Amino acid sequence: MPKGNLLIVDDEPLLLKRLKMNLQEYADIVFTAPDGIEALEILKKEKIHCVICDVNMPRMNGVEVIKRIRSEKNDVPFIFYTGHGNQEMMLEVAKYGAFDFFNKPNFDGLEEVIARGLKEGFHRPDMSKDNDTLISEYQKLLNGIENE
Amino acid sequence: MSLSLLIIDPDPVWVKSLMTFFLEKSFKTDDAYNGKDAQLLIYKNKYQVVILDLDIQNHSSFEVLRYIKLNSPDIKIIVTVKDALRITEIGITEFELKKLGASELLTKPFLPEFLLKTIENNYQIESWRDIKSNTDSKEAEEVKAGDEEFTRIKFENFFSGTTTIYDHYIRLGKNKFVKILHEGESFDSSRLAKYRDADLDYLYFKTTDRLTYINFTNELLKKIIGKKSTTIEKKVKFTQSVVDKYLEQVFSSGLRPSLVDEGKKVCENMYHLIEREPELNKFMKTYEEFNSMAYGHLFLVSFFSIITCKNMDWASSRTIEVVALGGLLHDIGKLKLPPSMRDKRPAQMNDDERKLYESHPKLGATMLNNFPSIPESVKQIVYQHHEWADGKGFPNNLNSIKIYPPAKIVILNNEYTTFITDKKLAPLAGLKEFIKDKSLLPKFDPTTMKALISGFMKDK
Repeated sequence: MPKGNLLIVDDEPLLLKRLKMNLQEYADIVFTAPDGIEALEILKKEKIHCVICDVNMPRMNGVEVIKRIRSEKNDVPFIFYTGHGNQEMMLEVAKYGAFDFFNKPNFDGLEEVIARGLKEGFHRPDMSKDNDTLISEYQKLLNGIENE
Repeated sequence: MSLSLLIIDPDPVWVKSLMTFFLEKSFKTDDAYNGKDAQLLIYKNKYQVVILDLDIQNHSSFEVLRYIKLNSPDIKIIVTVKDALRITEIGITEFELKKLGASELLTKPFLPEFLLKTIENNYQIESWRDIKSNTDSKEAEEVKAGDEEFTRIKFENFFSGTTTIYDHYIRLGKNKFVKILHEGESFDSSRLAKYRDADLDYLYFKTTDRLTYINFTNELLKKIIGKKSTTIEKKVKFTQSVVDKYLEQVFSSGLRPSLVDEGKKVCENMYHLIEREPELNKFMKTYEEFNSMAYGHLFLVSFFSIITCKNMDWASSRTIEVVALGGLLHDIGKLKLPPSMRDKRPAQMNDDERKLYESHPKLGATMLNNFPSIPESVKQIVYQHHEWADGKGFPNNLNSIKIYPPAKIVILNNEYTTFITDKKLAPLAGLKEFIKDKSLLPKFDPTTMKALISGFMKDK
């Protein structure tokens, strides 16, 4: 089963390398970009199912990257991380829809979130059910409880 | 309280400003500017608290931490850093620092008053462990004190260890209290029973003891949750009363570093209660007393969010932790609103008030930025707890695909618990009504709703 492609964006080469190494097994192809501008190019050229991105980078920061991507009607899941002191930026990226948030250097649970992000990126959930369908689905579940 | 303090920091100006402040507060205060001198002082003198800067030289801060852990493990260590980025540069986490023995991590600059509060919290919380038990019980003693100085707990939620760690009172009338149990006395339930007959519903303690109470009852709660002989009802009520007092402290005195830690412990206890109780689903269907307390709503949001989380196939233990804490703190931004507005419903507000009200999620998230130990995910839950799946929420009109997934859990349970407590319905009866309300349904993510419903099923 395909796992999907991951893009990692960070201006620290060492961290970029480490993340790529650790996350390789969770994705089909792992792309890396040293800054936001290159990230945008990769996002245009390649099929990317999940992005993990440092929020604070020179040239173009994480806020700008997600803003541009969303303006192109691309809703690929974004996972952001930050060092201490960039919290305002995290509230900014949230406005464009972020899938998860981490505090550097604590990446506990990242692999799991990446796997989930890639899956979401692959099959976006169907949100189109109308109220009546939903109510009857909920009701069915509730009836199951009553009959326990 | 007169504590002796050692400040270890390379910056003489900073040390001087702290020393002046603490000497005025009659702390015994010493200073050291490198690790070697600091260790010598610790060897020679007895300190209760050490303020240690991460950047000291000539015996690094890590060496000093190790030295204290080995030789004087009772000393409370508050580690300071010159700026927020420093921790990342050094490549150490707060968790690792705490493992090395630090009790708090503070980022400079901060006001000396903030440091003082941190010290007092830390010291107070630990002090009950040192209380010697005293078998001779003293006579009940009448005290004249203002009603506003006391916090009350229901008799039925009263548990105590063998030694009481704060004074207990009963209230006879306006501003009139009797101290019936003194700190350090061994607890004798027959003594309390005597007063129960007098038709008193509440026990009182001084509000200044509330942090000690929270810390103590949190420890106690951990034990009680594991006890087979205690009924679920009693466990839930006691959990709710601990959470209630915790939130009362947060909402009246503001959040502080030690309260963040207590909050994490409260959440862990709630999670254990939900996780380990095989009959919980049965109990939840019919229990009708969920709405009785002041901070009951926040407790319920957190409680049902944990339950929902348990039934989401993607939720990990990390998600449960952030959802539980996010549930408790989601409305903390309301502290920044004018007091007259705090209890108003949006429907009762005029346009200006409504605009202000809609800023509370952001105000809350920004407040939490002052606490490095609160994860970004918790702040995001606070920030997004009024966003709706149909994009008609606030502050950012995010639609379902853009809302942070754990926030969806708190969003749903915030509305669900308001719904059942407003209508005074037991959880299951309330849920049946709730899922049929077509004006509410478009606000929620269907997967999350199904997870909440599944919370009422028997554990497989």
